[in-house]
Amino acid sequence: MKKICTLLLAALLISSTSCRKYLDVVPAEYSSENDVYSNINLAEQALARLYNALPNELTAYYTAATDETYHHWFDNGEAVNAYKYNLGSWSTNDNPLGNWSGKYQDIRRANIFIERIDGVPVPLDRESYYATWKPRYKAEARFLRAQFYFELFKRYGAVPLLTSAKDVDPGNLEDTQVARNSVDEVVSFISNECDAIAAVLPPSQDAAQTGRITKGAALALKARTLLYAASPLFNGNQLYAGIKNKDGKALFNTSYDREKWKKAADAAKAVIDLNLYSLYSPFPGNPVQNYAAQFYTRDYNETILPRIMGNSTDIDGNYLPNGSPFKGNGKLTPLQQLIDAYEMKNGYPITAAGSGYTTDGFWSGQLWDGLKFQNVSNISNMYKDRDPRFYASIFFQYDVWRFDDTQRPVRLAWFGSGNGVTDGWATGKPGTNPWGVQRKKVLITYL
Amino acid sequence: MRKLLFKNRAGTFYPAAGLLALLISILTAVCSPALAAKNNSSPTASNNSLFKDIEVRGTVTDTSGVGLPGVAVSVKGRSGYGTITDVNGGYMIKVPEDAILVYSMMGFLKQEIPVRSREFIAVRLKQNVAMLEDVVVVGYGTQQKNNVTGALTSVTSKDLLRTPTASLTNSLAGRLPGLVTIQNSGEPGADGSAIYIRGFGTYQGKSPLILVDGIENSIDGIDANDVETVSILKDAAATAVYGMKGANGVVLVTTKRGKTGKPVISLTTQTAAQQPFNMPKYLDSYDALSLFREALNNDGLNANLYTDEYLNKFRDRSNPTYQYLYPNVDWTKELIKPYSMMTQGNLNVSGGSSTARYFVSLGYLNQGGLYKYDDLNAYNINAAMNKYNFRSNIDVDITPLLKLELNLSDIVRDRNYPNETAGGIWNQLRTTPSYLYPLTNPNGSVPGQKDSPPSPYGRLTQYGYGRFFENTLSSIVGFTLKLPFVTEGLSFRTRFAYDAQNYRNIFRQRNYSTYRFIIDENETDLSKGRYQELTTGDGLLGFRVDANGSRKSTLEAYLNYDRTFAQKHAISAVVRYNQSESFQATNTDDGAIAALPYKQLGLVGRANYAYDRRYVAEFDAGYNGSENFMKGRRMGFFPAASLGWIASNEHFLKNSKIITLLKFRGSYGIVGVDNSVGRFAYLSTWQTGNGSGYQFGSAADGNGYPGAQESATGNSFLTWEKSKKANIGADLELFQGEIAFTGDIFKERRSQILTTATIIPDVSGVQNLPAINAGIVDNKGFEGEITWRKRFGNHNLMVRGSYSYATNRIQYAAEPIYALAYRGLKGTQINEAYGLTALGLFKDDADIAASPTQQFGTVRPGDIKYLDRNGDGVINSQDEGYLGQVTTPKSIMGLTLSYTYKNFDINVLFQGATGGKLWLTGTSAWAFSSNSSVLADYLTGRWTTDNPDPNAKWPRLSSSNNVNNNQNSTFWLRSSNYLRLKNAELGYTFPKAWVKRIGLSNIRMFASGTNIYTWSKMNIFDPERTNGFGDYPQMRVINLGLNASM
Repeated sequence: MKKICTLLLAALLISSTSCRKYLDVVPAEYSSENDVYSNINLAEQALARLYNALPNELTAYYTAATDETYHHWFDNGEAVNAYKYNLGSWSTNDNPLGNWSGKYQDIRRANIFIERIDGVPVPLDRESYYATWKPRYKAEARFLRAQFYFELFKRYGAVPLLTSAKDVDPGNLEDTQVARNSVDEVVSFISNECDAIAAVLPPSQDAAQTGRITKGAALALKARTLLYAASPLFNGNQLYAGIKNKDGKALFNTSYDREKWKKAADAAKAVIDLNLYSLYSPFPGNPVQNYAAQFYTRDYNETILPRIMGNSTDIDGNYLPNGSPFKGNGKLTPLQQLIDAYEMKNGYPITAAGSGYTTDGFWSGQLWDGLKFQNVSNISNMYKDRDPRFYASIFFQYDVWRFDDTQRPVRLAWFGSGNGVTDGWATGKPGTNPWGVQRKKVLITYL
Repeated sequence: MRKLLFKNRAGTFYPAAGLLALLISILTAVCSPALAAKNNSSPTASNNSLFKDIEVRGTVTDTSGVGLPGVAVSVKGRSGYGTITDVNGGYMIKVPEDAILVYSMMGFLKQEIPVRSREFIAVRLKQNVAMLEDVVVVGYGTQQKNNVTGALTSVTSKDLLRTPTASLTNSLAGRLPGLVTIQNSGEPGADGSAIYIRGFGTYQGKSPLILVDGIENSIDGIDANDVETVSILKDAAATAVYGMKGANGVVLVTTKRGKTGKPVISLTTQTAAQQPFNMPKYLDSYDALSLFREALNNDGLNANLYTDEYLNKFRDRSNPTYQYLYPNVDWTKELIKPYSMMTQGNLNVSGGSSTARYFVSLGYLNQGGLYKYDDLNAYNINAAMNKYNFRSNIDVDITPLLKLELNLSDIVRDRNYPNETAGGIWNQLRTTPSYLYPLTNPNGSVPGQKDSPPSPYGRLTQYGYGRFFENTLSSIVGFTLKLPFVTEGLSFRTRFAYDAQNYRNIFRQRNYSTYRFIIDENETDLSKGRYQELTTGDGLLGFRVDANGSRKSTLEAYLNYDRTFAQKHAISAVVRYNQSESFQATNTDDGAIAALPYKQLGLVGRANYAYDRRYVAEFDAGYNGSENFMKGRRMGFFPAASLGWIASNEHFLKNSKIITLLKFRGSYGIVGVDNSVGRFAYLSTWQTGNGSGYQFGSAADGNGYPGAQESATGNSFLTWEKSKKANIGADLELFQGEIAFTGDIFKERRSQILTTATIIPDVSGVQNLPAINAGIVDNKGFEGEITWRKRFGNHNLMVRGSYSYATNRIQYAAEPIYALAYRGLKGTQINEAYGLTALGLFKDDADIAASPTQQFGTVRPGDIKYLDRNGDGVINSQDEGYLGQVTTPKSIMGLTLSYTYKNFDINVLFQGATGGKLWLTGTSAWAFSSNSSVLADYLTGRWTTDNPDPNAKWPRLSSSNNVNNNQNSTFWLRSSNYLRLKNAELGYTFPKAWVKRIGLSNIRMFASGTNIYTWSKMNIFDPERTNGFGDYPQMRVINLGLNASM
């Protein structure tokens, strides 16, 4: 019996001898910050992540927040904000352009990158390559951080300036509370950063590196920041006189400073004096085509800093109506306010006397479909003799939709016998109803 | 038959039994001096020479007549002399003819029989029931009921079996004070209740720890026939031994074990009809469209289409085309059977000799589904579950000091479902308007319409099916070794448990075509219609298999000490060491981390000291941890102390004719609960190679980089929630138990609740705010149970009522200080509703003009008027806040009435819950909100221009989603109070004499009903459903059963 007892106790002891280490389930599968910043390829991914945070308003629904478009998917969770715009039920809780937390996340990522990129080891055979590029990477990250602050600055003015990525200490939450910096401090931070990195950055990049930050981009960001700072919103605006930190520090400078305009102008001049940029005008003979082409070229002479994206049909999906022949998702449709905002060919707003604008009657003639002129007829006079940019941006009843095999005039609002005859889905749930005008700009029509 | 069995049994077991008898002899030889020594002092000792010695033979059996081996037969007053019975219970002893023989054995009542010169004496020993009843299950062991100082309550098998449900959790409703059960679905195989103990102390994981025979496990699959007791442990004294797992309370399920005695074979078979109840009712086409006309008028829209003539066609069936062109389909009626069947059977055998005991059980349950058209295809689409339960609990005394236990249980579930989820089907049944589709097209095909929700008929019957197999094996092997050679009362126990679950789910999705039937409405020949194909499916069954498994192993070792000194000082103590490791079912998408084992390690203990059965003091402690926290912060210590005073054992009450038991209990302690969200949340982690990268270069397919970023910021301080619990309780029994009362008051402060610290400003830039231990919640309440038992001749009456109440308050939630306090969690309760405060309906345009502007779209008379909570003259989302109402009940009531008369027994259970609210929201409630159907209740209770009642139950009708009205507001918050006749059972036990004649020992027939009637103001759907309209409804069960045993 004692043997059994001994046996059992021994068995138990054997099984539990390692009890101190029993709970060590080492999750080596996780990647840590150290893993990323000890491999230059992963560090480059972290930099790519910063670039990814450059403003991208093409696929966003900002236009639905304005008088430009209407968002049809108001019963769709994704578009909750849009339906608030449609209903006009905004409050201080809803800021469709708010990016407070998102930008500070980007800033934290940038801060980590700036702090750690110098220490990332590089392969021996690539040392000379990275001798050039590592300082540039750091300067690029500093530019991007400045750009993120610029995005915050233009929305909120005075924001806290954080230049290092602090860890959150849950034991001391009070430490996470930071005070806002004043507008002047934010502006001078961005401007100083741009100055500092302009010296490191190249004036231009190779074709394979297009999209990386250049000297011109840094100087342009500075110029734009100083221009905003000189504007009446931030220059001597009394409206925010009462916005102060707890310690009494005023965040918005209420005294007007004429010199701010001078600084902005000088900064802009510095960009112009680089002599690197010129206007893009590939089709001077056809103003419609010339304007449309702006949105399909990868020739960036006119562009100081492009925000590059891969091929995508997101925009087409968002703007084109459901159903044949458009095959879009019918989310957004231009509003009449947008149509009316286009001036006449003669330069007058449609409301101005002598503009020649009329809603009565129809006209026939030729319209540029993207590749060639098409004969059209029965077009409302609303769409006659408008600014060439209008024809490159909007299509309308009886305009020719080049992607239909028949190349026939599209029927967006067909007053005939109803269902199934109108192009796109004319009936059914909200969100699929093609209105009388649709967006053309940037869509596949001109590719 | 019976004889044969007996013989076989004896024959088969003979060699083993002989060996056991031998062991017993040794044991008796060892023990008897001690036994005899105690009897030595007896003054009746006599060895009178006047009486000569005779040989007495006989048998010792249990009450059922089975021979008991190993019974000590001794002579009263004569130490060191005696014998023990053989394997058949036979004995022979030489004693004086006037001697008094003493028959004794553990677990049986000792009997003394004077020989009176007889040469054959047959004895029947009775089981010591009192001793069994006096022991209650506590955490990691059992305790004398007298010495219990914690707050715990239990329910036995007998009561659980009265509610014939497929899930054990549903049988607990109303039976245990302090337990909240919420059943949200009646779907076969997924109808278990969520259970909570003493309300809510945290806003993270709120569920209690559940153990089956001491091992963490789920209970829904267990056959109620296999269960001995279900206990819930409520206060710190009872749960401290569970350390960082116990703060939400503990549920202990103890399965049945064999008892020494003749084998008892018990067969139970039951058949039940399950009927869905409290299902929402919707209007037919005519009524719904009449209301739509009204809605269009309300909205100022053109309603010219909806003429009386047009509406009448939805009821007119004079032309065969009308039922297809003007459909009127009650989806629920067409697709749901009025009832489905459930059959259950259980066969179990228990018994044992003095050295080996067994309980072996086989259970079978078939629960049918409610869907019609289940035989339309070659395969079945109905929801159904077949469940097989196997259990074998064996105890063997290997030597008198060494005991073996083996529990083997296997639960096999074989389920079938339509490919469409229950949520999808039941939602379609509710929201698809009756006028949208005919049930089928004239040719039997599935109707469809452009840009409309699918036909429920198509989704249910044509969309394929799923077949789910699942196997859950649980096994425990344990040894208990008594260590009297170390010290009396000490024993060592070790157990190893292994659980393995595997499943294989097959999904056979079928994509079908839908057609629109087009015909002139005046046509009388349906074959002249055309079918326009709207969606195209290949009509073939797809195939997808999802198979996975999980594993859990637990090793535990106990040292138990149980001894009474000088009959006054009773000490019992336990120390338990455990380690366990589990692997969860996981798939590729969960990542490598999810496949790492979950581990627990602990050393827990309890020491209980009772003085003279009057004063009891207990100390409990748990020291345990898990792998999920940072090294050095893994282990936590959780102590609890408690006291008990059994006043009724004091001199002044001992002989009281009124008070049988009066006991006061009090406890205070700290318990934890490890609710950490996600795994290894103490680590900061990065994600590389993700899609948020960038592409450089002027070429369209430029120079791309994937992205790398911080994915989670760790909190190295992360730890468990801590709960400080205090409990005061009293137990009272009057008139020999005729009236019994147990009551407890408790208070709990939960701190270090895992919280997303919204107080950390966004400028920290942390993408996912780390969870921190910051929340504080106070929870308090009471529960009581009172029982009255009375016997009048053949009438036995029992009434038991219980009431529990719990309320809580969030004291701190690591949130910023809200300028509008009602938007913050602080000061609110767990599960508190959030939304706008409604002030009834707008009377007229003047009322609207005089009220603050509501920014949720156009407002017309009959729309909901909201409170301007921040007083800025505008109603918007800033006026939303916590509403002071909770969506779970605060009070739970149970009332049991039991009555037996001769062979009849009746048992009735009422169960109720109050203090909670329900959201009556969503497309199922809001008429026409997504072209959806209309609740029948709108017909009478709505606001209309003719009857502009500002307090109407429903606002004015709108023809589409009325954004102003369809906000979460108090208007849609309805009381969920209910009282339910949960269960009633009528049983008849056949007369013993009659039963004996057919060779059985007992036959009982019973009829029972569950969820028989509900009283509630909530008349749209069942008030127990906290998830609103939900999916598969709960069932009313009408059950017939038979239990026979031999």
